[in-house]
Amino acid sequence: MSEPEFTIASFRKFLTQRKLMGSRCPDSGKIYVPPRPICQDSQSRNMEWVELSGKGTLTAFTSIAVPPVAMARRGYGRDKPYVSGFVALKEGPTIPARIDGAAKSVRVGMALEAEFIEESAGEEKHLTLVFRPA
Amino acid sequence: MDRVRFGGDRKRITMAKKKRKLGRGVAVIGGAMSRFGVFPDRGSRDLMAEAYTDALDTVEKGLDPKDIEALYIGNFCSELFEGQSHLGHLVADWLGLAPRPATRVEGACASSGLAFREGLLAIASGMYDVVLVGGVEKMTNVSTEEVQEFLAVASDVSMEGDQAALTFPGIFASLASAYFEKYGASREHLMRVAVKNHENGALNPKAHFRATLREIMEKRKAKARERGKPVTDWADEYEFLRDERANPAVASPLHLYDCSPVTDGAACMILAAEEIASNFTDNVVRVRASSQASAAPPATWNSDLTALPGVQSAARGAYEMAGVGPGDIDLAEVHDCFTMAEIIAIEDLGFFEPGKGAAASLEGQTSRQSRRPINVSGGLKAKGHPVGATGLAQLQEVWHQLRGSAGERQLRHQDLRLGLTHNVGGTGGTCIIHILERA
Repeated sequence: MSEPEFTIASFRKFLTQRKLMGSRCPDSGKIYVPPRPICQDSQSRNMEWVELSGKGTLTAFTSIAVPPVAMARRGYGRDKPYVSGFVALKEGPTIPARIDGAAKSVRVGMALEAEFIEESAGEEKHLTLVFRPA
Repeated sequence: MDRVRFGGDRKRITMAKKKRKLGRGVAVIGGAMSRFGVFPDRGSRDLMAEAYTDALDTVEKGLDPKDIEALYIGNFCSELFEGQSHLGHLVADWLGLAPRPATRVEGACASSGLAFREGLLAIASGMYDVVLVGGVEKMTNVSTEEVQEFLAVASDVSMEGDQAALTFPGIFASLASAYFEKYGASREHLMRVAVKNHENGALNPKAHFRATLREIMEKRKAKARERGKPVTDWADEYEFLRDERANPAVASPLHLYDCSPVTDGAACMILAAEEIASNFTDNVVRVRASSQASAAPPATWNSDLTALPGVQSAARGAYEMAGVGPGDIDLAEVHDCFTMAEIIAIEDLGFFEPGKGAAASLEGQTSRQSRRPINVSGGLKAKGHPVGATGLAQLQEVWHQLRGSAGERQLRHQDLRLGLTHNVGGTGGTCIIHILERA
């Protein structure tokens, strides 16, 4: 099987297999999530795949009371806000993600780990990458 | 990354060392914005027509529209808001300016800052002598949910939207959480920005909200009384803003009155080669700097989330091109799409040290009476934020202030020479800064 391309589609495909994958530039050592084909720092196109541990810390967050339509369909809204933010992964890159199971205790700097949850919106089922308190 | 290598001759240039300048000087000879607000019966072309005719009236010695050689029209997404794409030629036709070339320019909320720059470069290149630059967004004929969905297409949809379910208020709210944590600021600082910009907007006859927050609060009390409902007796506008029912959370810590409104509006300016500007006005305002930068989405910033690296980069370029520093700027219109964004902006522009913008705002160091007032127009917060019109609405405000034609809100406590505009698309993905100078 040929190696997947460094695209967002490949990233999403890995997520359906419960894998958090990125690309690493061997020249600069920098890791990208989602994977990208060209390194920001070295302009190298010599990327390789790397699997992330899913461990990280919360650098910024919010609790959203006015959700986008896709989240409203999943039952979120003013009466049921959800937390989302930016997670700095142990390996370096930051990923925007929903934060689950920390509504009351959420704070900048908290340790988190990746988890995949199954959600339904009407008939549709979604496998979603979220982060939870470690 | 400063250095770029060209493959062919292996020549290296250092971008930072290249001093940028215009091929020839460019002046602003006219400018206006339409009324900003909610206009169910007016589309993009109607809004542009109002801004254009008002702008023509500001050309002191008059301008024959036949002398306009090209148009650059900033617009974010009329295809979503109005189901109408391909706006450039329609505007040219509506203003009676076809067959002159009309180019639509898009950079989210920075669209018309970019349109101004394209017009500027077209004249500086020698191609044209007189150019019309415009910006427009017609936003209020769709539902609130649709507005949020349409604006969200300016984010990194696959990651910020699909992956993290972050809305635009949500992204700026996240920046606020990082700023609060790092510098110990709070919602009280944000409230001061909203109160100040509404006070400024109350003086602007074309603003969406021509009311202070205190007036908005009193109006709400009166309405409750009228309907025989219980009246909350807020002591002042700050107590009003702290009341979750009056000012509900959108994405904490940002609440309703931390967000700029959904607005219809247009703005427009007329640019001319500086060497012919005296044919149109004795009151020449020239473009001293134009600086644009791109930045990755916040997740890929190498810094923390308390500053916008794209703005910092554009600001460095603008000051270098103008040969001035932040201390030389007499007034600025900054992109306060959210109150938090104004605090970050005044730091990124070098007006205040990192972490000091919140306290400076609270202390009134950005007010109309201060040495360098910020957003005397009311800002996006009170003037309104028709996204594609915002960049030029800022520029025409600075232009009016520099030539002394800003009416009741004209700054009079000091001699104004240099004015700056800070226009940002998305969360700092497209950053564009201009410095205008009264000659």
